[in-house]
Amino acid sequence: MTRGLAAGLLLLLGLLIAAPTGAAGRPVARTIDEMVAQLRTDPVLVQPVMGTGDAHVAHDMLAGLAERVDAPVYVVLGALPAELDGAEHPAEQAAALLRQELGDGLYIIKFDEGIDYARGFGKAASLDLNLGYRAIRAAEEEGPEEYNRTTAVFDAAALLRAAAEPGQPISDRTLRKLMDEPWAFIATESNEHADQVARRWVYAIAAGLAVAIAGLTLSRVAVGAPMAARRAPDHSPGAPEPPDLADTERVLDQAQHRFDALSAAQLGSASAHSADEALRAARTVVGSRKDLDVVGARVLALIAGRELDRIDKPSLAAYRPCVVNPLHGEASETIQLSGTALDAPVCRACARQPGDFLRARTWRGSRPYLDTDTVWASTGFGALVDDLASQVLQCQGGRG
Amino acid sequence: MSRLGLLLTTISAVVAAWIGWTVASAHISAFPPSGDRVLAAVAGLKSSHVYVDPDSEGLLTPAEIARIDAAAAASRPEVFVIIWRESSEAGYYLPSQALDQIGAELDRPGYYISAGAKGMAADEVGIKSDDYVGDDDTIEYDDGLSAGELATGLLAVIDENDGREFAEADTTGSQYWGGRAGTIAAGAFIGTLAGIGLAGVLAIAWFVVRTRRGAQ
Repeated sequence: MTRGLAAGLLLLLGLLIAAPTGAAGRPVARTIDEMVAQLRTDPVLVQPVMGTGDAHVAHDMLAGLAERVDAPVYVVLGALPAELDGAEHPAEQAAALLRQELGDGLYIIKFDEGIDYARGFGKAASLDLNLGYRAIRAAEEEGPEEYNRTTAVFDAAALLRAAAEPGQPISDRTLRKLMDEPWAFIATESNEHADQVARRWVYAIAAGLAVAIAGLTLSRVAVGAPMAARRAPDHSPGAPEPPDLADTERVLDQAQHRFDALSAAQLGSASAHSADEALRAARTVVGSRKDLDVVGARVLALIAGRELDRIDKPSLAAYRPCVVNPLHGEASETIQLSGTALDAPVCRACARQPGDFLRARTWRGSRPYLDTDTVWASTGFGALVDDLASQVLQCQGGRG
Repeated sequence: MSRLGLLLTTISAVVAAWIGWTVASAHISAFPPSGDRVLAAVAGLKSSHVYVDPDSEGLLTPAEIARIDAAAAASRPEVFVIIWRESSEAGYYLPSQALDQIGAELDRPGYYISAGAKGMAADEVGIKSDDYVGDDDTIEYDDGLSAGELATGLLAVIDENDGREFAEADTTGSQYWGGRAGTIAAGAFIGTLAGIGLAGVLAIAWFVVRTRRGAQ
């Protein structure tokens, strides 16, 4: 007898160990009868197939909420019982079958097939679950994805919360807290962690490459050309020659010092008046720091210097620069400009072999200064007129 | 191009890449941990090539399990079979996602199959093959399976899998972006287009500024 009892206990123990288990180490209930047996000891049944990854956590959370309901509560989230396979509304039928065995109460049932079912019987019939359904709809509308589906665990939690606190809507804060739970929503493909991690690399590569391409392109277009010009000055004939601003200012200062040293009698002369006008014109344009203006300022300073010389030596000729390039110095010859009948003053070198005209740098490239729309083009930097200073002052600082 | 321009461009590109990385990082959800169902399957597959979930006990006879186990272990690439009820509320959405999780936890490259009374799904984990049984394949049995049909179907798939050419590969990358190479290619493609557009806008802006200065 004792031996038989021991063998029986061992057999029972072996069956328990070998039996499939679900949440809380219990065997997985696969029939209504097995569910009834488990619900008699624990009214919340959550199987891994509906446990959103952790049936124990889901069970404990729902059990805590169920205890707060002022009526018997039975929750079943699991696999479709074998005898209800193919039945219509299996959750509703399961509730009826369970109620026959367990009695009245609030039944919340969701299987892995078919629609869910929640209804109170007896004392629990008066429980209003609408606030729970409203919270479920709100969560699905405000969830993290465009289309959200709450899990059976979330739905059960929302309904139990509504049953536990009748007439009290779930606050936004509580709803948000529930929505932040990892078991709140059914995961979708767009939630895949690998996609999000890869997207990080896509963003980084795309942003870095875009800025690199734009930077390299812009550097070549906007910065590269002028910088290259500074690195390697263009010595080709007629190429723009950046004027020496410091030397121009030095020449200008020298002329100014000489003018300032004139006696009262000398200041009354016509040459002194011309020198004064040339110095003022030079001061007006040198500040612009544009290439042609700096060249013009230098020519005006030289004109002023010559006029100061002419105070004591009236026989000296007025200063006229080389019309081809004023930086060549004073003109000593004349040549006929091509395409015109005009005899223009040029330096000796240009008289022997006319060079290219001084070129002005513009945003479209360089071109002969005579082709620019400036006072320097219309006057040939004073080579073609006698009143350069006057015209410069009239043109408001040389801008023609 | 000047050294200064190159330096500024490099710094700007690095900063832009960092900003892109940071912006994208703000939307990364926590890595989904493997759920209890997946971990139970992993534990079962450590000692066998077939795992039968408690909710699907009885779908295969012990003899069928033994035959499938032997065939799966002998197959190359190896096959791992999980018998369970399909579910989207067990911590994953698609059956292939569960298979990926199981393969990652088990850390054994192979051909993973999940099957139940309503259908079958398969996924390659840690391997790539051109000669292919079917990655992410899903077969649905609308009318369910009669006794023996599931075992027969599984043995046929395992037999078809056996002997095909394959290579071990990292399959944990993004399927949406096409793995590591696809991710880099996508970033390069988008970056190139955006760079050309950005360069055009900046060049136009630069020309406008220069034109206005030239007109003064």
